[in-house]
Amino acid sequence: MKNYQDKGLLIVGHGSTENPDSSKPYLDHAQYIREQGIFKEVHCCFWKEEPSLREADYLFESDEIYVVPDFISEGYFTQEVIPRELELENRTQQRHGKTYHYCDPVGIHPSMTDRLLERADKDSKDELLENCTLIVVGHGTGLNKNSIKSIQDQVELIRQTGKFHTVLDAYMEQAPFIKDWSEISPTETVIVVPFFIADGLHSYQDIPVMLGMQKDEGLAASQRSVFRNNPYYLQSKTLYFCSSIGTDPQLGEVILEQVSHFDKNYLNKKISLAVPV
Amino acid sequence: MSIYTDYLTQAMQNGFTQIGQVTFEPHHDNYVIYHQSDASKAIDELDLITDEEALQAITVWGTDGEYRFLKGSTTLKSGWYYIATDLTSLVSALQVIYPACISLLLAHDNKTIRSQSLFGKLSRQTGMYGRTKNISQEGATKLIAEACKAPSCDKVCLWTYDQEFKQMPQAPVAPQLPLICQEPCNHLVASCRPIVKQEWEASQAAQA
Repeated sequence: MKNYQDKGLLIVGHGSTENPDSSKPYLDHAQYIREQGIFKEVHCCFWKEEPSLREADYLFESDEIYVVPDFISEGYFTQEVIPRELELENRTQQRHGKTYHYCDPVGIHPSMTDRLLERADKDSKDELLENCTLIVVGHGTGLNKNSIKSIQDQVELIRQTGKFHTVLDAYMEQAPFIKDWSEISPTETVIVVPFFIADGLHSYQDIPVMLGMQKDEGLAASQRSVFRNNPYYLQSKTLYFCSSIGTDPQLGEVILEQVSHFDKNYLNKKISLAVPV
Repeated sequence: MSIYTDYLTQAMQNGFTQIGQVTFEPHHDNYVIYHQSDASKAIDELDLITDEEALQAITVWGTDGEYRFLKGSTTLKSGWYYIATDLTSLVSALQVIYPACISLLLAHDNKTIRSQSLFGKLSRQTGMYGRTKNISQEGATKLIAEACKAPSCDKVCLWTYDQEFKQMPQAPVAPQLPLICQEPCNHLVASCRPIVKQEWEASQAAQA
């Protein structure tokens, strides 16, 4: 890894005004990177929590800052909201006396395939994966047609490994819906991996209701003494529900890989962040 | 040393030792941070917070049992103290409790802070918040009056519904450093949505 001792790293997360666990993974990723001493400064900012994206400017003494969206999809937030809030029109931009480098989101990095495989393998205990259906579940939104691309790409890559009987994508807010998990899964055993950063409102509280694991949203993850009691026996199937992919502090490595990817592919080039119409 | 530690050093020399609900001050060769309501207690009556992760955890839940997504809320729990080994750690710890607090104060003093009115913020919203720009001035002003005050949030706003300011209305008075709000938070933006809906429904009812 190149030395970034005179540079800053800004990790951008979503956060939540409803779920107290939403920001923890981002803080963990920041701490993981901070401890490596690669950057002069490492900070987080959030869409829904503090510090906000507009406050992030003031956190850095460094004149050059790498911005990594700690988001799963390249879509509404990474292409529209974050550039708008950080006032970025190009991949590299000078503003307010500092130079910003806007990197790709963590979710589209090729190494995420290995993270998904590790998570599914670890959380499904001793199941033979070749007998299982793996469902990678995301949010889905009508706001940006690109939002589910990263999940579809990962699903295709995992399919190609041949490790699972079937690999599917499913979503909360668009078809194929995760609530139909049992009908769309051809095997008796199903592993669901939330392709989210945090075990927050969607992945820990909303999706379990959609899966039929619980009747209501219940308490946040940090407020429960037991995280999950896998497996669940529902609709004549055996269901393993995994932790969100981003809860592994090692995802900090993917953030660093996106910084390296920026330097190799985007540095010193004028690349617009405008979303193609 | 950094521009932030320089700022805090100067502030402490000028008698500023409090921010939000906490006090920070020299303690032997280190610095100690504790809740202002614990000022009369002996340090061994308080729980030692040993790292920033645990310090951050203190800020998550309020004395009212509610999730403190607004860190300017005056519901910070008491009964703890934190030792910062140097000024860098002190700045870092204070910004764990009150994100960007020292950075914003420095920007304010340097006159580099950029504020934005609620109307300005709503004007750039898209997606599910796009319609918030339709809120009436009356509705927005009432919302700000109710939401932007203790215990919900005790920050000093550099903005109103339609105005932006470079300076706080009053200079800080030692020992208390203010928490600065440079533009409306996302929570306030989200709070505009039901008001816009109510206003629209009222206008529809009036036309019927």
